[in-house]
Amino acid sequence: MILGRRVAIFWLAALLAFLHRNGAFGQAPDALHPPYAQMDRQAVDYRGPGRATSSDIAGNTATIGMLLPLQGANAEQGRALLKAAQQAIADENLRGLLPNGRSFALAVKNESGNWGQSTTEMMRLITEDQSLALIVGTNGNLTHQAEQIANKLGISIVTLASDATTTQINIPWIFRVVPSDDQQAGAIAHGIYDRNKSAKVMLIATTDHDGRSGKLAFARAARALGSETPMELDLDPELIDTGQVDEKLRESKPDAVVFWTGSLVFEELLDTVQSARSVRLIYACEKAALSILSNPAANSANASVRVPILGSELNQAGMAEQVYKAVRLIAAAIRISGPNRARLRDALARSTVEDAGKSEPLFDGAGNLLAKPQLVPVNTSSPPTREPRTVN
Amino acid sequence: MLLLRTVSTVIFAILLAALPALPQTAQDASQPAQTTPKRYANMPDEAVPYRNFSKPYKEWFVEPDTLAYNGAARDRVDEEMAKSSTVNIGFLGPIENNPESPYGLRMLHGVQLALEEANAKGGYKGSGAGPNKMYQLMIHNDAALWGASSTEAVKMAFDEHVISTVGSIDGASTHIMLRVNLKLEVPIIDTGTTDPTVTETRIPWLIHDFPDDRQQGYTLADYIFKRLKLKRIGVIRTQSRYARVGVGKFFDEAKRMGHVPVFETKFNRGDTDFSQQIPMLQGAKLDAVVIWGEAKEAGLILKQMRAAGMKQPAFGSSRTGYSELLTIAGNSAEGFVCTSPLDLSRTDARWADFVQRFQAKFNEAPDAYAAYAYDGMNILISAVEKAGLNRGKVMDAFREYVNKTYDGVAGTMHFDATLNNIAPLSLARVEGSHFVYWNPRAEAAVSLKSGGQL
Repeated sequence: MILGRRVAIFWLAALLAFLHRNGAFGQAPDALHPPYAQMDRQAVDYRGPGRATSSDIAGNTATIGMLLPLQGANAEQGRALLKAAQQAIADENLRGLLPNGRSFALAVKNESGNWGQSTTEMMRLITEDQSLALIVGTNGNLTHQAEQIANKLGISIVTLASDATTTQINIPWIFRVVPSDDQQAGAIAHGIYDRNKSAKVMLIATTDHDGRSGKLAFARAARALGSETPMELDLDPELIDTGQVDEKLRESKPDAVVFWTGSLVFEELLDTVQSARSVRLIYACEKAALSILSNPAANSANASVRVPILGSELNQAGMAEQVYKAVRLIAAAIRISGPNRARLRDALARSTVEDAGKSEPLFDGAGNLLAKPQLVPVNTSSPPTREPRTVN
Repeated sequence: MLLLRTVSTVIFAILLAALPALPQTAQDASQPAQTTPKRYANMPDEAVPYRNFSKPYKEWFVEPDTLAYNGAARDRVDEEMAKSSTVNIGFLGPIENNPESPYGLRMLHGVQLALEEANAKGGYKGSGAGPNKMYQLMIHNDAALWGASSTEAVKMAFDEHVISTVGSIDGASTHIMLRVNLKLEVPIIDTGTTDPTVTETRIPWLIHDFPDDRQQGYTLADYIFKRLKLKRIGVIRTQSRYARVGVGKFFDEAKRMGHVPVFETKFNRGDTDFSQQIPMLQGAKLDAVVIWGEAKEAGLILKQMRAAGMKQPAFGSSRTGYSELLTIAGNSAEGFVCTSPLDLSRTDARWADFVQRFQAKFNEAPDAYAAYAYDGMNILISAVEKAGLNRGKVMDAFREYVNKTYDGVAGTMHFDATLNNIAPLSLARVEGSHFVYWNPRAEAAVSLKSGGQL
């Protein structure tokens, strides 16, 4: 009986050794099974109709539509963004009207509501307000809905959402003006594992769409560097318990913490994380760090947070700045295309950025920014304070 | 008196002249002249969503360019397909290990018969000189596992170099294969699903000839609520996508007619004891019961309903209209009415010949799945013959059916701008242990105007 078991173990070990030697383990799936075909995301293009002047939008204005959170927890932020967009429209009109005397105008609708509700507002922006392009905020879920509508109706979406999957579905109407989750995760992973050699990393992510998407992106980036998957702390954004987070930090003693949350959760937890003794380094995705990006502390008396931001002309310094630049980007493209959605898409796809005196393409074929984000320390000596929320 | 009669005649003549043109008769629908439905899916007035409250910004699915394709597939050359000694056609259907395999096998047989007949005529370009390529069916089982059809679709495109695919019956499998074929640019002719959302994707790689749940819902609701004036309806259905989607469309139509079904209960495929559900149906004080499922369970439900003293009229979905229901329910089936994708009692030569050939080959009578699969394969073969071995051009040939008709063994199909067959379907009533067929919505077809037939 024992002999039989030993023989079985011997043969099992021999089989494992054979498989290992022949490379059956530790290889990417592609190495074992080459794909039948690979989609070329750089070749995403719009080949449909709509470029003729007969498809131009009539009227005296060239309208840019926006979905903003005008109600609920983010209403304050929404109002700030509205001001930034209005400022951009005013600056653009000061620069000069369009050749046929049209001025630039803004149409704004509320993005809050149940899943799918915003699509109604998008339809109004497109059909009633005759918007030439839409700007949507940092919400990846909403961006997905917007681009499905855009694909049916033929209108460009300029998004501030980092959700990388929004540009992985070959829809030729989407343009992202912030670094994608994959780009940000790559920069953070490089900073953590290559530069600072952190061994114990905790990833704090929310359980909503954007948290899940970012978490996956960071896990991929860590694997790509051959690092261990980080410890994960998943949080319901509506039920943040700082005491529980503090306890987890003391238990697991990470030396680096990564935030993949919205800015409200980040603000709520930053003090707690900064107070944890084991934590040497704090990283945050751009969406989490929006508030400290718009209002960085003057000195670095306390620990700073490292945030992946762009070093290009679209250098980010908070969401209001992003919105301002997005409006100006669309307006510049409208000056080239005229009041036509399909031609505007082409003009946006061909947008350029000045880099060291040279004109470089702004987007890749899928609508992602070509510029790579860099990790930048942002001082947080006076992080914004909020009333703690009640946990049920 | 004479003056009065003259005045009456004049008034009558004026009234007659003022009437809008009378619609064409049902017979007109058989003329080679059909197109443009006045509304998507030939939807009856009362089925228009929110018709009393708002006007849609845009109406999809009715414009002739609904399925316009602007890609490069017409210029793509598949060298493997050109080199192959056969013209391969992929088949995806539930053949084994799937509760829908009885329908899948008949669908397979319909396809095989059409293919065999095409090969008997010389195969691909059979009328031309030189050695001809024969058509070959590459059969794949739809395993009823969510997502499995994507693997089969990829194999068909890359390993088997199929010119087009046929399938499937399950709505979810078809949806998934459709997404894959959208990326791979491979045409699909779907001959079996009743899921109307497949053609509502506006993906320009699919043509669908099987009457869908919209048509079932319109026909059944029209009959129950408008003709029979029944009001309190209860529904008993299987836990399946077929029933869930179908009942959903029936509910939509019922609601819009002002008769929200008052009760819905479910059962699993294979259940034999309905003693849990029947008392609930009894307690709901219904005018009628609708059964959405398969013939076997429907037969048992009818039998147990009648044994429990329920005398209400009963109605059923398309899959209840099989002889198995008659055998199981016996006298309890009398008066039962179900939707039927085709009239199996037809005696015209086209149908009679098909039945004879089908029975001779497979030793069984064809059903709707077989008939629509046979017609679908013939549509596909004529598209390949016309377009050649290029998937983009084959889809172009399918696209020529937009707002046109096709006369097949299953009857006259009316393809709308989404390439969905929107011909009204029949009803079948059990009378003397037989199904008696009629088509109450045939008049709906008169809203189709003159056009052309392919």
